[in-house]
Amino acid sequence: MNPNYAKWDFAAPLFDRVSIGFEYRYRKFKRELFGKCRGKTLLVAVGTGNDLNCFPENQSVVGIDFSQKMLEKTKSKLPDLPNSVDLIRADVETLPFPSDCFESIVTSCTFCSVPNPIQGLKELRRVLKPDGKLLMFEHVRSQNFLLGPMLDVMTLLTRKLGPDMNRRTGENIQKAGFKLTREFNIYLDLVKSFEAVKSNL
Amino acid sequence: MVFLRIFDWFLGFLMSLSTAFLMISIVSPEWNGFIAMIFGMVLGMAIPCLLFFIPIPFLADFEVMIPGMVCAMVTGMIIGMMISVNNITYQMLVFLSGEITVLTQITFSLFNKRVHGYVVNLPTGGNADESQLR
Repeated sequence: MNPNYAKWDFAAPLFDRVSIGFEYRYRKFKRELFGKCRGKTLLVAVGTGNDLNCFPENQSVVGIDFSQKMLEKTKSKLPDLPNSVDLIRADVETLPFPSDCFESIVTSCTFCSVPNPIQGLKELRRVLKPDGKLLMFEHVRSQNFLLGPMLDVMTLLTRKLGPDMNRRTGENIQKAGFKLTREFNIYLDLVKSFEAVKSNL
Repeated sequence: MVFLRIFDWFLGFLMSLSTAFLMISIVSPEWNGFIAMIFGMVLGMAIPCLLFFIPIPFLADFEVMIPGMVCAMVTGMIIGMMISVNNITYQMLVFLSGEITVLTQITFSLFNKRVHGYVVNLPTGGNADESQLR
């Protein structure tokens, strides 16, 4: 069993409480980013469902997560949502969907926790339609000479219970075969939004 | 958001002050100044990392953790160097922690203003060129 499953099952009961600040600070940016999704949309790592409020009304969303406890918390919130949401337990590194089936894919603080991020992004590339769009809200390693090494040290501790703080998601997106069309610094160069399309490999 | 900014600064000050008090409790004037400085830096880094695991809202936010860690590290290093050469009073600790917090938070605000915004901004499907990359 993937050790990440147990880690996030353990985090599920407290997840909403500890992420209040994060949601309060960044909801505006998430709404703006998620508002760009069109058609059938995949939300990777739905968590406890906090991000479902950031989609436009009537948006059809398929939400996946590998943590059963997270999905159970999300299910309890579904009746209050204006969107149609299907929940599936799945791992982003091995998606149970056919190729080219989503018009938009959205991630929110997901790739800080995926063990093999390039493999996960390659899977997203596979299931995204050729004219589809990848929208990501992620925290990444800073390029600053002081903050970068600090985040490396913090990661030694934080990955025990939660996310890695030093992921190079911008580079990984391109390594997985996407073309980065937008990259926006939200807080320092740590919290960012990315937009990408399939590149012609 | 102003309330949040005040809260961020206050938590940075608390992290800085906690490091200062721990330093004078642990480090004695007999310590080598350089060793005490390095110890202060490590302690300053450890305190915010430990706070990350406390499930209190806002505590693990980047706006709290990152400037707070720098405040605590700088305070730990300065107190480490001062302990070996001076007698430090509690008033000095509070004043120094406050001063370091204000300077660090202002630096982070300015840094954030400088880097906030687009790094890449292409029309969908376009190619990046030098003028569009910062």
